[in-house]
Amino acid sequence: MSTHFFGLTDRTFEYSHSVGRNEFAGTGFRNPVDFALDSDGVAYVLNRSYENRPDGVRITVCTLDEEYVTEFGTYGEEDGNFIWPSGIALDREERLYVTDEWLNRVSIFTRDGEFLGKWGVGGSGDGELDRPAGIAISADQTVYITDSRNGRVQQFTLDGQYLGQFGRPGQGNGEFDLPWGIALGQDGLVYVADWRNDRVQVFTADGQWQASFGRSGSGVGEFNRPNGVAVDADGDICVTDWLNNRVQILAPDGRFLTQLVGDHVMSQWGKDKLVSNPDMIRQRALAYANNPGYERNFAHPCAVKIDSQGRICVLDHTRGRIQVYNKVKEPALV
Amino acid sequence: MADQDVALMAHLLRRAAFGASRDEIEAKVAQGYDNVVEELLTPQERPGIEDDLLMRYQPAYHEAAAIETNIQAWVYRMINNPRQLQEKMALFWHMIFCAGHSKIDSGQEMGRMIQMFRDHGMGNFRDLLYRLSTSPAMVYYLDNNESHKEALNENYGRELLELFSLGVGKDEEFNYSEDDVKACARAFTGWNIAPPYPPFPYGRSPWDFRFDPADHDDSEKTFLGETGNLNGDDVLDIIARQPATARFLARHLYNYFVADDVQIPAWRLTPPADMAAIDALEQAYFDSGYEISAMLRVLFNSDFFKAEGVRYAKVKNPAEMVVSTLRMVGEHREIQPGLFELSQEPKYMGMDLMNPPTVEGWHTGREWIDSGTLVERINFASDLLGNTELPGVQSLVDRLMARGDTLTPDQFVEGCLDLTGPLTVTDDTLTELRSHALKGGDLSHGSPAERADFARRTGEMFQMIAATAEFQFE
Amino acid sequence: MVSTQKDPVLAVLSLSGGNDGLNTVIPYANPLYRDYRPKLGIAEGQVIPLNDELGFHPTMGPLKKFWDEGKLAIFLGVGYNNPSYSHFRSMDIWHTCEPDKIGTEGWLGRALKEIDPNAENVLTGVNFGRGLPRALVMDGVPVASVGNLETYGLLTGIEGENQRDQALDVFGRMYSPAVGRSAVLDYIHSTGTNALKGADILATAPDKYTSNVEYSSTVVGQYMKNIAQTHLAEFGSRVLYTTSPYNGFDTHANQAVLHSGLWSDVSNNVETFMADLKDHDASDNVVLLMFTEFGRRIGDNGSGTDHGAGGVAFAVGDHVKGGIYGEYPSLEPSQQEEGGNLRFNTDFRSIYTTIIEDWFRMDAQPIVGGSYEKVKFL
Repeated sequence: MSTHFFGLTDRTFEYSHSVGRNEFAGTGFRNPVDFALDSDGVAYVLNRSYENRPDGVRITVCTLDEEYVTEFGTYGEEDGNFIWPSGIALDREERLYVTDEWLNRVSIFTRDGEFLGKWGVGGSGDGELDRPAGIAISADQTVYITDSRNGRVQQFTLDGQYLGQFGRPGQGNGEFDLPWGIALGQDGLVYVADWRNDRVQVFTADGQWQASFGRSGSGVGEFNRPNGVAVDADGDICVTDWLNNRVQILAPDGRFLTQLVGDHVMSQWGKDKLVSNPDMIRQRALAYANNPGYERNFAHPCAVKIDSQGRICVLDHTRGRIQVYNKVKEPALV
Repeated sequence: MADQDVALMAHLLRRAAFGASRDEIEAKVAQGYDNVVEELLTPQERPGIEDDLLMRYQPAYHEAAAIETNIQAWVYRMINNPRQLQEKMALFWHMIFCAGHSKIDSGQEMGRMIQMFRDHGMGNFRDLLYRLSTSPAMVYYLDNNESHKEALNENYGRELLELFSLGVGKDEEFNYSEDDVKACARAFTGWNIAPPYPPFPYGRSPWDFRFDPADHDDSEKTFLGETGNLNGDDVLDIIARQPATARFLARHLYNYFVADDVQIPAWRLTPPADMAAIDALEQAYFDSGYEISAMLRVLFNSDFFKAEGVRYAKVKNPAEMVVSTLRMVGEHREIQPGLFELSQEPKYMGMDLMNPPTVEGWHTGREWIDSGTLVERINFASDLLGNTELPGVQSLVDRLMARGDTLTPDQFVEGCLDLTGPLTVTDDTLTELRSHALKGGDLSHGSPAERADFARRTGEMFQMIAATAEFQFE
Repeated sequence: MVSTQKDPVLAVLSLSGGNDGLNTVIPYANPLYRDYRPKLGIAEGQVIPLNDELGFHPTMGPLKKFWDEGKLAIFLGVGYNNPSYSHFRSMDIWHTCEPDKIGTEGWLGRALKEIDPNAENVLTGVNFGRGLPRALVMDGVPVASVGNLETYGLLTGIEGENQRDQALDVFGRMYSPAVGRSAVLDYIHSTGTNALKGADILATAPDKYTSNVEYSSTVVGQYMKNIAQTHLAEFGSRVLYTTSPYNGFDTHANQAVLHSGLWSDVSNNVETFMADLKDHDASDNVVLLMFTEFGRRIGDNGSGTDHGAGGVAFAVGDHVKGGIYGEYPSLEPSQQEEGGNLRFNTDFRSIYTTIIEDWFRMDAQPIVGGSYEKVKFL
């Protein structure tokens, strides 16, 4: 018996569960833009909220098993406040670094939400920021920030001392158009979601251009405003393909492996909400019959992280949740 | 640059756009009036809002559940959409095809309805009526989802005729009978909405129109003298052919773009103020096969629109007051935080956007103004125009200084009125403004102290101009 | 019927967002309450008991005093048929008394028209907050909407008292009557003159006011203070209205913390307000009504509660007959409104009818749009 198959068959991805619901406070997220995962499996979810709901601008702390821990941060310009929070990352000591692309600064917190300090100043000179978006911190404690309107990546020490930069505005290799998400591979490579160029670019730690994957479109290996990127232990590259409502997974050499489009099943917090709103359970049954895919699929996924178990965790922006996938070596029966 | 060209262009941009900064007005004059009209009428041929950027920096604007966020996003577009006439037409249709959030209870559906007006508001009227009749928000607002083959609800059928197309009557005659209302409602039975996901826990799904043939009354009907197994599509075809529909549209366009007319319920008995203008618009409607842009082209190129007599003949509605002032002073001309509070201002002035008081909409003209709303209008406009740190105001101060090393009080007042309009005021108002300026004497701007005083006095004069009765008009 | 020397005044505090009645007046002895509120139930020991069955939220101590004095009416199960779970629609229904169609006139607008048919006093009705609530909307009824009483007026952006006075002087002359203007211009001029007059009068209220009490710096605190200032200035205002921060009571999540903060603020400021009026010997012609557009779901959702029906309302005043009015709606599943809600048993228009007839001594029927049995709390 022989079969023909034309893709890579040695890794598959299996939906595990979802975390969260839409909520302006407490057990849920509202317009979440990024998140970070610590070594204990705790998620720090950065919520942009609505302008008329400044109370919803906050970091929600919870586990990937939906245990609510706490929340902190609020809208404003004071220390520890956010206007347009954009990216979040943990350093080796598990302090949190949050970029704000309106205030052009980085705020630092403990995992409990205690404000430790801030740095950053607006501008286009060395070490100055114009809409800092994505943030990643390497094992040697170098902070990488996509300095989006300056079309570059800048490197800093943990306390904000300027170390270097690479890239400039443009469309060529090593140039950027409003870059957003950034991730570091285990081999030290830097992966940048070059948002408006619809591609992912790869650099060495010191900024030497290595490769560029993708182009505009909705086909295989094409992107529509990719904004989040993560690299797992195998070197596979996960990219949230924002306006295509999917996550594309590329092999280390950039070849398309597969795509995830969302497999959501009701989260525990979602169930809690429905138990107290039983009329909506009935409405949902009718709606589901009419459009089964609506709630299952991603809606503007905007960040992806790999947790300590190697799971792929996708922040599903518009629906206010995280969809978690296991990477399995043995194929799942579909 | 001739003053009369600036005045005419400013007039066009107050009506076909939400005003403009002085710099923009002068750039448009250089382009030529006819070219600017054509540009306004062909939005698809020029860039619009960069939606990806808007979604990145204001992600809540996209598919937001909250009505406040949808209003804010609309106000952003009114200020910044380079295709200004699209936004002006979206507001035009919102004020006629009224549906309100207080019943619909979905900000997202209100936002989608406005997007439909934005995309198709200058297109074919027959097509627009079809989109309206299949707009789930309208189907729900006027209870068409409760209108069944076996249990008729006439609400949509009636309002479609009375408020959305024919109007009650014209030339003292009635445009339709009660039997026509019934036939119309029967033709739309089965035009319904598919069940959407409820708000919890992940947000509503967009509402979808759904035709249910089993609930459609397929029997014979007579509508406006035509008999057959009419459905909603047939009824819209018949409506689009009616002279009354042409009259209805012509009067609405005149009332919105040219000069305040009497309130709509009076239209059956009160003839149009300018019958020749209405005739020309009606003609364009039929000649073009019901194209709204063709009517607008006739309107903006007509003598009745360009006439000095119709300038400042309309009371600004609150959205126009808020947005045109922001555009004049150069505030929120890019994506930035802080628009929410400003986007609530039309509501404080009596126009709760996306939530008209009834299906009949807002009363316009002088009825925008009472003692409460007048205070809001004056304080809003004068606070912004008096803030000489805003880029648009700064530019006006610079322009005023460029008029001469020294300005007499009269030259100063004349300059300020010119730059904030050009605004024409009554002699009484002019006398008061001049006598106030006289107290400060001549203005010069040689030294830093003189410059600071010049700017301060200009800001103050702008505030007083914003407080005039004349500034309430556009 | 009550009779006071002075004209009766109604103060209204609208609790915007849908207050959770179940955690406000708590059926603490009912085991079903515990079942439905696993996360948000208030422990029996913390409840401030009113009787063997019901008690206040722990932050409502200041209101309990009015209860003890017999000056607090508690209305239970307040609502209307076919409840709307939309903030806007339900608030509209409370404002217009029109549950079946979209109404344009407010019940208090209609009341003001009765009180002052020719709008002789521009301050008969005053709202504190931006934008006029529909309750006060009525053709020919001017109601000032005061965002900030300390700075209320025209041309408030002009810095320097002298400059502003001069500007207002110019304004007054520009808006003075003249011949030969168009009808619309004339109308705007007279409207501007009225606005200036109203603003001039209101501006004197804070200066006239001295007090020994301290309101909180919150929106509710400041507007309750403004209501007191306006009342004490004796402008002849008869309806003084304000709204707590928009949708503040909409506690979908994190309710335990939020709801405590809200009621602590409201209770303290109501106590301060009544003490302020009493200090000035000006409390006996005031009734304060507090209402919300709906109650919330019976069951909590893990951290908050969602939109529901059957809410609670309160009235406080020297002439209020303290007590509980209406029944506590049953928590039994079979007795619930569809969707896990409390079923109303007191029509909100009954409360309005009582206020119109027994406080303002007017015919309520045309104002509330029908005949409703009175709730005898006045």
